[in-house]
This record gives sequence, structure tokens and C-alpha cells, in this order.
Amino acid sequence: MKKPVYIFSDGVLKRKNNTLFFESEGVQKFIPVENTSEIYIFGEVDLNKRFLEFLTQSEIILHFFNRYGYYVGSFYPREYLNSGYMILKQAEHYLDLQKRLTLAKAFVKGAYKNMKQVLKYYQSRGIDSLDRYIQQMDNQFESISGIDSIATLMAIEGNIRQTYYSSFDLIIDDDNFKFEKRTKRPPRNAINTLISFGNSMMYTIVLSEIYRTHLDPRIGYLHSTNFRRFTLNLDVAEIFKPIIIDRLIFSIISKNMLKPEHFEEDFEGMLLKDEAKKMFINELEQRLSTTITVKNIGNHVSYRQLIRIELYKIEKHLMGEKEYDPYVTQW
Amino acid sequence: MENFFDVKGSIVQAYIVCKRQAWLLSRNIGPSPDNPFLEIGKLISQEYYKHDKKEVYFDGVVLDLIRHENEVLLVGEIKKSSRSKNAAMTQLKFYLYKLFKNNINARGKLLIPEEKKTFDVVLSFDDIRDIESLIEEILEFLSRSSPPEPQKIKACSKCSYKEFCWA
Ligand code: SF4
Repeated sequence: MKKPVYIFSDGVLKRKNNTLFFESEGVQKFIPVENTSEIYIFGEVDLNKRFLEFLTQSEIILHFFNRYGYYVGSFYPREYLNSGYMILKQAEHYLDLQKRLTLAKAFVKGAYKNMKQVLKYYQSRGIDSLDRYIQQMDNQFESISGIDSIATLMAIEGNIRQTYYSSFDLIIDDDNFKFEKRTKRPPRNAINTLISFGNSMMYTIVLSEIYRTHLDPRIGYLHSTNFRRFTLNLDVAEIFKPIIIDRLIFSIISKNMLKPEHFEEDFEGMLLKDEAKKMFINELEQRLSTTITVKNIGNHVSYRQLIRIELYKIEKHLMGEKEYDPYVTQW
Repeated sequence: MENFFDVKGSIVQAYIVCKRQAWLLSRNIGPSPDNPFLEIGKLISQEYYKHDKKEVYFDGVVLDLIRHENEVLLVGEIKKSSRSKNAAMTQLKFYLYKLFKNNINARGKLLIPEEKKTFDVVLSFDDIRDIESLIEEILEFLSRSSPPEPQKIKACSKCSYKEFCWA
């Protein structure tokens, strides 16, 4: 099984014969291409064109994060599973507003249902006051059926998410990790920093999976496309953020794996130290390789495969084979 | 009929095993890249027959291996198992047909190294007739605007489209 490689140190990435090679302060490390699915770069790393060409040939994506842990961008090698047919279908569903709305609504529905499942889980563990939030989310979601503009749909999605986030303090219940309200760019407190980091990871994970399908990541349906940025991964990530990232954050905090020392305050906002990023990624990898049972496909489907399957479901929707019904977690 | 699709050997083979797969291939909807069975297939052809010319591209088909034997060109097709032997034989005959159309006389050999088996394949006049009508049939089929729905067949369990078909 291929695995992602994470680089936190500063150094130089090179091609050496038929393998990838990382050099950092006298330490040299080979990265075997055949075991590498993608590379995450958090440190200051130099690389050259020869290296990028080799990555293209080896079908490996590179994701860059800056020293604050914010996503910078990806090196997305030339598509190797190109299907003109699928791209035409993707464009067709983008250009036809009704078709676009159908898909965009499906993403909102998937996100809403999974957010609700998260709250229901904590409700079942005794946090009764979550009911109020679930009710409110239900009401907010109800209004999407009549909607005929993407902008309004996005606004409703935003409202649902706001309601959902405002319940976080009840779930976390830890003075070191008060959520208060969602702050991005920059995140103003520890929990917001974790959410931002986790969400960025989720976007790149979905992007990496898209690379292994026939879909073009530049054509999204809920997130508006300007054909220069990746947006389809943002759409699909909405569905998985609550069940993968948010649940991970709750579990890390409840297991006391994070301390206030893992954070650093700076004029840029609240930052996560490398050590904590590594721990977070470790937990995330574990979660992604956890297997579950999925209807039709059977036992032992990992969360990472589940994301791929979600993309296949979208392909089948585009082909007119089967209407897309987003994944909703069971527990 | 106008030839919109390039009927490649892989499509011919797929058509015999599963028509849906042939349709998907024709639209360049390739299988999951990390299916373990695909990897095994690649490894086998790398591992064995190190001294032969491999993966030769010819007129839209990829020949697994070619070698000269007694002045005649020998085309080898490597398979993991004899499970879909008939489809593989047809695929090989299709290659021989393509070569024949280009005035190259060749013989074929189906190689199954893991089972230490080989099968000789020659192209007869009946084969040529059969292949031509098969190509017609495939072209007709590929012109459908959507693929047939997946049907659980034996091949599904090890098929690299499995996740896609049953998602
Ligand atoms: S999974 Fe089954 S139906 Fe789908 S392409 Fe493979 S053999 Fe055909």
C-alpha cells in the first residue's frame, strides 16, 4: 500500500537515480517512489524541475504548507487517467444550472447529515442540550429544497455550519479549548487553529484521491469555479470534514493529547507547533486507515477508500448511471 | 459505420469478459490505479522474460512481448492465470490480425508463467472472418451512449473496476 510522506525539516529534495532523496543538515534519506502516494511539505524545501518531472512520471502529488501550517498549494502532475468523456460530463453538469444545483445540494445534504450525526453521537453520550442545535440545523436545511441559486445555497450551508460550530463548546467542555466562534485567516484560538489545519489536510487528501480518478478537480459545483483553483475537492471534503476532522479533534482533546504548550501566539494568530502537527497527522492517518463496512462493497473499506468510492459515485452520477447520494455515517 | 472508437486489444479482451468494461475503456475510464491485481500483472511481465522486447506499441495495440523465432515473428501475451484464457486467446488473435493486415506474418503464444503454461496461437482464415465480425459488433456496441449496468459476474471479484462499478 502506498503511503503519504510528510516532511517537516528544511532541506533539499532531489531525484537520485530512480528514487527520491531528501537531504537535510547532513542527514540523507531515500524516499522510495513505489511506496509513496503523495508528499506533504511543511519545512523549507528546495527542489528543481528534474525532481518535479520525476514526480510526474511517478504520479506523485506534492502539497505545500507554509510555516504557519496554512495550505499554500499543490503540485498536481499531469493527469494520467484522462478521460475526455468524463470531463465533458463534468462540464455539462456545471453549465446546466439545474444539474449543478442537484449536485451542489447533494454536497450540502451530505455535510449537514454528517454534522448532525456527530452531534447525535454526543447527544447519545449525555449532552442533552445539543438537541436545540440539531433542531435548528434541521430547520435551516429544510429551506434548501426550493432554492435555485448557488449563492443562496452556500449561504444556507454556512448557516448550518455556524449552528453546528456553536455547539462545540458543549462537546469539548475544556477551558483550554474554548471555541467561542469560528475564526479563519488567521484562526484566533487553539480550537480554530486545529479546525483550520484539519480542514486543509482534508482538502489535500480529497485532492490526492481525485488525482486517482477521472475527475477534473477544477470543476466544482457548490464552490464556484474560476477554472484556476481546485474546487471539486472542497465540495467533497464538506462531507468528510465532520466525521473525520471534527471527530478527530474531539477525540484528541478528550484524550489529553494536546497541551496549551503545543500552540504559539503570534501576530498571525494562533499557531500549531510541529510536534502537535505530527501528532495530529499521525492520528489522522490512523483514522483514514480504519476500516468499516459499506453496502455493496462489503467489509474492510478504509476511510481513504471511502473517499475514493464517493468520487466514483460522483462519476456515475455524471454518466447518468446512478443518482448521487452522499455518504452518511452510521453511528 | 464510422469508426469513432479505436478498438484496441484490451477492448477486445474486455468485451469478451465484460461488455461494460469494454465500454468504460473506450471512454478512457481506466480502472483504479492501485488495484493489487493490476500491480501483480505489471510485476509478472517485468519479472519474467527479461531478455525479450516488451510492451511494443503497434497500430494502437500494445504487444506484451515479441521475439524472433525461426524467421517468424512471435508475439507473446502474458497473463496472470488461465482464468480468462479464451478472452486472452481472442486478444492475441486480434493482434495477429492487426499484424496480418499490415503484411506481417506472426505466430502467437499465450504465456502464463505462474502456471508454467504456454499455448500456441495461429490465425486461420476462419479466425479472420470471426475477428472482423467481432470488431463490427464491438463498434456497434461502443456507440451506445451509456454503458450497460454492472452485473455481478465471476470476474467482478478480481476486477479493477470493482469499486467503481459497485460504488
Ligand atoms: S466489476 Fe464486474 S461489472 Fe464491473 S467492469 Fe468489472 S467485471 Fe464488469
